[in-house]
Amino acid sequence: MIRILFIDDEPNLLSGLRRMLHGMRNEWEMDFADSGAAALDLLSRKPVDVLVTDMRMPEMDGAMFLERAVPLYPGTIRLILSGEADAQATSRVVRLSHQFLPKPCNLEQLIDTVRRTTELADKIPVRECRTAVTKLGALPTPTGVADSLRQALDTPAVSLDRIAEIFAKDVGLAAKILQLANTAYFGIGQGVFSPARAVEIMGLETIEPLIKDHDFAKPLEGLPGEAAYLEIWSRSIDASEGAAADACAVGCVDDDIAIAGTAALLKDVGRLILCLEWPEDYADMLAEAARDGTDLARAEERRFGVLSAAMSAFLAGLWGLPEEITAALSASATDDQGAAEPDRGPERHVSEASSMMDSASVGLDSWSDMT
Amino acid sequence: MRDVELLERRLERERQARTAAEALLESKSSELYDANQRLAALADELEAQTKPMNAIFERSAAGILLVDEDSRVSRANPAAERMLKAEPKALRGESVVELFDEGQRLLIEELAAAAEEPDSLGDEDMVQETTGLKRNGETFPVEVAVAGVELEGRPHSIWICRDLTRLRKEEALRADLESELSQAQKLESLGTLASGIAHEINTPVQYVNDNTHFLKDAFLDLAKLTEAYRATVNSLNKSANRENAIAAVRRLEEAVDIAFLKDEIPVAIQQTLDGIQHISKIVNAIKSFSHPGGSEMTPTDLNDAIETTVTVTRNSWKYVAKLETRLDSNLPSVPCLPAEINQVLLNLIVNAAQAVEMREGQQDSEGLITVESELRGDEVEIRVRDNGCGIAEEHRSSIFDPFFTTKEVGKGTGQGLSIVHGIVTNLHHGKIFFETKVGVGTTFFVRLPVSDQAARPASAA
Repeated sequence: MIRILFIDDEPNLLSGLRRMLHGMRNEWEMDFADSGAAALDLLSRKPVDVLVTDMRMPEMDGAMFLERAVPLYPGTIRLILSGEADAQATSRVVRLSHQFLPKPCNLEQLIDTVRRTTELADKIPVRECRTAVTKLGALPTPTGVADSLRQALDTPAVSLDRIAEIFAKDVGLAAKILQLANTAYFGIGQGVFSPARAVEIMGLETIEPLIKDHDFAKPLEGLPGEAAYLEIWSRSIDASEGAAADACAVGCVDDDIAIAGTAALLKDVGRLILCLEWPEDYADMLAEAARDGTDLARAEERRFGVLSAAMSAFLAGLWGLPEEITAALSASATDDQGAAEPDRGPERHVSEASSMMDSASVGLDSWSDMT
Repeated sequence: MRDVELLERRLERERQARTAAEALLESKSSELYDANQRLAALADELEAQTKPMNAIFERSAAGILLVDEDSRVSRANPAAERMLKAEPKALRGESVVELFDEGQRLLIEELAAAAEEPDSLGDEDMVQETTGLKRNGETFPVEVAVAGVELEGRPHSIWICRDLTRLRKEEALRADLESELSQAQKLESLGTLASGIAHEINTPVQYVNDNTHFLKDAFLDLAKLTEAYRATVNSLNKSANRENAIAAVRRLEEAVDIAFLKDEIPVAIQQTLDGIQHISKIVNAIKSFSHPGGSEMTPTDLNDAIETTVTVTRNSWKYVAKLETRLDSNLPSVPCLPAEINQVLLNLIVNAAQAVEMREGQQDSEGLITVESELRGDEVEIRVRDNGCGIAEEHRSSIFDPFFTTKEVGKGTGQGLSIVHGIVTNLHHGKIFFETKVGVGTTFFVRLPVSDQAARPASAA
């Protein structure tokens, strides 16, 4: 049973949802709260998996409710169901929620969104790892990228292409902009496959305040696990360029090239999250994998109990990225599962782990211990 | 000798006479010369006096007509000829009445007659705006100033004419600008409302949609159930199938949750209808609110206007305050420009909501906005009262000034109250004022005259 809590100040809306979703009663356990306070009270007595909240409510609005609820229940999947069209109001919930469903939202869209996200969450058997994904507001950005973004934004009449180029060359920025463009926070939300296209759709006037107010380009430097993160990050950038070039070489259409590039760019998001969340464990695991010659995915699975690729797929689904990209990431999780079996040739992965150790050694104490 | 002597004496006399005559001649010619000299000096002096007068007449930008006692033009200056598109000297002898538009003749005749009155000099009625008629048939706005004068013992009048064409163009341009500014302010306030209205409509659309989905599924469930009931009824005479049929019906009743359907369907239908009504109300309010309206004064039900504005602004106040209306049911229709009055109400209500939002230290007490209407003598008074932050002493004298705002940049152009003031006082000849106390609240009073006469828009006066 998936437990869902709906919050809206309009009682007619709640009873409409309750009736419409009555047919889901065998799959979903649903509760309805007519205020943020009632919802917090209910949450304190009964944990839920999914929160679906309105934005404009008297006394405690959606953003205020989420500000209180997120620290207490970081593992929840949080959807906004709102008729709000005001960008300023919307920007307050961007960081606190995963997707924006605009009112009026149809039955299929609501059911589909809950199903997709919860199914992807179910592929991650360890609760802490799921929570690491759901609590993530944005991935940090390496200083070089953050600097060039700031410089670009300070340049008078900077071209949108320049901004798009920067977004396409950072895992965190790319993921975030794809989230914003694909869910209806600032528009209708549509199948956007490439970060550059997402930047184009969103426009500078929407992007700029978001970056300034919500530290999307939060600097990576100084965070534990920085070195390993940077290594995974730069591999992702290379992989993305390679995948797009390959797709282009075999004559794929533009959308497929974009899907290939983005899927490759986001494939290791799960790794980045693990490395941010448990920097010491991750470093230790890397060292161990290099020593034993274990494949990285298998080492991660052994250490954390999850496939990092499944976390990548979950994040993509949670953030409302197009099905094509989520599917590609899920497929790579399945590949890793296969690869993690001992009889599959581990050589490539061995070299992967060792070379990562080489590059990531600067910040890792365990490495100096070993050498 | 006597003869010689006689001759000599005569000669002497004649000589003397000639000398005297010469002296006389000399003195007379000297007198003549002096007279000539004086005359020349006088002529110079006269010329020196006339020259500027002539120059003024010839070079003046204002048209000057000298009109005789028969109302005929005896002289016209070049400016008058240019203004009236007449050939040089062609105006001489024309009847002055013919130089103005036909509809203005009565006024012109009155002016001509009044100029003969000795006390008309300096009378401000002797300056009038009227319509001139050019010789090519075109008309143009003109101001005439008429003064009586006696020339050669006969009464004359001097008509000084100023072409107002350019002034009128500039005035029209300024009026356009003012109207554009007012339109922009209206759009600004509508823009502010747009996202609120979207939210207002999207919520009922959501539950109408959800209920309809539910009803669709419920109908399918009920149809299945009805099918099963019929099967059961049909099986009543075949006792062998009866138990099975009844059991099947019971299972199906459970599967479709018949109790839930029985309770929920009527409520779902009712709430759906309510939702649709709510949406229609908002859509109608927006329609009547944003209707551009004409420039004609229309008898308007101000209570309706208040209700409409309350509906479209609902999203601006409902999260900060309760809004109560106390409307006088005996209100007569008031002649006004409905779109402009809506704009006044909108600004006052949105401002009240913002004042409530900005109040500090009294968050425990509930925000309250009251909108009242009342017939007071020959005026309708509308009061918009809030228990918000009040207006600071130093701002009170400037709140109706254009571009005055205490809001942060981007939150308002500062045009709202200035335009409200213009709409009430200039367009409707009404009054607007306020009472305020910091930390307690503000009441805005708008008084509009009920009678058509007083409410004639300024532009038509």
